[in-house]
Amino acid sequence: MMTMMLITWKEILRKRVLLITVVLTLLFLGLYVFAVSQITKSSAACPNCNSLMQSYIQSLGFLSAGLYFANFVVAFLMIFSSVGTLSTEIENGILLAILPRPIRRWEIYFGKWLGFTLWGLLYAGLLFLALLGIVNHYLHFPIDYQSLGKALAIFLLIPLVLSALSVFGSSFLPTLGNGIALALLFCLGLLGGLLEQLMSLNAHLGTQMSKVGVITSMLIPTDSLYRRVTYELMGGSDLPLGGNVSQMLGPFASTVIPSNSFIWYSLIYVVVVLMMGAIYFTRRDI
Amino acid sequence: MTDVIETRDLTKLYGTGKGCRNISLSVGPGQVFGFLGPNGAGKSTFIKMLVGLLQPTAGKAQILGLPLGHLEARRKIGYLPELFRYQDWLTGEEVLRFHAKLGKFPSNRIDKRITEVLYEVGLEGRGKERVKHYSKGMQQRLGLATALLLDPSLIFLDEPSSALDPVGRFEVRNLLIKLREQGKTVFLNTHLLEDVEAVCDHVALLFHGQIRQIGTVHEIIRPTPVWELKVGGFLPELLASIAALTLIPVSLKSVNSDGSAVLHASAAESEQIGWLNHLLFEQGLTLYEVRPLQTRLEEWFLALAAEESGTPA
Repeated sequence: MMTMMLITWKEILRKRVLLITVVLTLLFLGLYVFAVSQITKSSAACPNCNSLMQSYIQSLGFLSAGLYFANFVVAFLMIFSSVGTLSTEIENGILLAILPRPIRRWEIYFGKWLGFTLWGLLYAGLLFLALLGIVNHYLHFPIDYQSLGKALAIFLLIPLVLSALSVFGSSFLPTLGNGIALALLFCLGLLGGLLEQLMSLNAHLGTQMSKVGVITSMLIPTDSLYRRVTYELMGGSDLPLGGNVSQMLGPFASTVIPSNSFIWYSLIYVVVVLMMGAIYFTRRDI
Repeated sequence: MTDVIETRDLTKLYGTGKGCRNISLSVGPGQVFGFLGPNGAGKSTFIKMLVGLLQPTAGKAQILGLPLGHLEARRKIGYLPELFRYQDWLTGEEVLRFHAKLGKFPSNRIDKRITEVLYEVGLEGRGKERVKHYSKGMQQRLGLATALLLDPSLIFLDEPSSALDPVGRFEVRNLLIKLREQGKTVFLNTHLLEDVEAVCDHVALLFHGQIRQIGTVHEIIRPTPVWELKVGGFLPELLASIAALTLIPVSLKSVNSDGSAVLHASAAESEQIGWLNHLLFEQGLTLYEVRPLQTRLEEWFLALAAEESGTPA
């Protein structure tokens, strides 16, 4: 399993995935710094315009927005880097030489998953901390280690879910089909989550639409996990933020908060998806 | 000593009905076994079952006395797939090191072994180049090196000479001979019948997923020696009397208007042909040429294939 994990890392390095990711991430962070610094300048021009609470909400909004786009970046990085990890190697015959070696197929499966997942976790973690550092530096977002720790841990569940889904899909779908399926599934989760957020503000539509949100969250929990991250960033609702904070944060807000049970569901989801993929890959013909 | 490969009614059928069915064969230690058949006959399917890539639909098989797919058996086999690629972002040496680690080869011996196998397949000095810069022939050689890497006692080679130029094919044939001399058991899928003739002890012909013939190369190539006789002054009515007198099968292959003809006679013993010559002479025929026909594997292969498809060879 370690051998497969290490070769996966080598692949990420040799195929310049790391290099391209680092360069584009620096661009992303640069743009983010630029936007946040502009806000800082406009706030400095009118020191009495914002109350402390308003400044906090502003910084929270920026952090939530940054994490919303970081969620996209992490998702597409995880999907596109691992989408063909098994299917491409089956299609071009690389696995024909590997599978007869004295190594169990599930070790190959988990080795590859672990390789992409550790890489994804490292990237997502660093991106989260970079965004947090920027907002803290420019907008003085308060550091509460407990809530930030929870938010980071839940944010890291997003690449975990996506890598499990990607390697699972790669075990039985062709590379292109898997890529399209995952991208659409991810967007479905976003749309379901967005509709749920919007409709929860309207009492007449809330019940029906929240069912849609629940179903899409069950299919792919990534958007709900992001919502839970923003909730944790607000100090787990311990702060007296007032009822209109959701409107102020716009689409990055969490009006419907996923429960702790949902976090457990997401973890079980990862385990079940991984097990299903490993069992299928172990039994399938190559 | 038990057989290295033993299969009993091993079957793999795909949804299309293709595959291979009821394959029963045994390959003893040190044998070089040729597995022949036209494209799509099911040869690769059979090998893939043996190395654990495909799950059999029915039947049983053992490799080195262990069930198919057993890790211990897989530790002792080498496999060169027919249609394969290696990670083109690795160097040749890195590919081999990766496979050595997968095979749990002692880490202190890996470098030495890599140098040895690269030399054996003619890739010495090229190991540090990326696979993407290798030609198809070099990739094939790297495939051979990977198959030999763990010093396996059983080697499956699926079309090892494909993509190789004539020199490469000659080198592969020499390598096969060397492996045979080392006492390795080799299961060889190939279209190159001269390879089979040169290096195989046993051979099987697969057609439409089923074994049509199996035996030693000697038995199959020369079931009964056939002799060709070119005669003059031949009359068609003589044929029956000649056959009756000699008690050996004699057939007319061609006859010309000038009375010259070509006859084929199957005779296990040379003395029978001597006796036939004498009788032909007595019948007043002129004997121009008598020579034994070597039934080559290609003729056998084509004859069987033609028999299967119902067309003349």
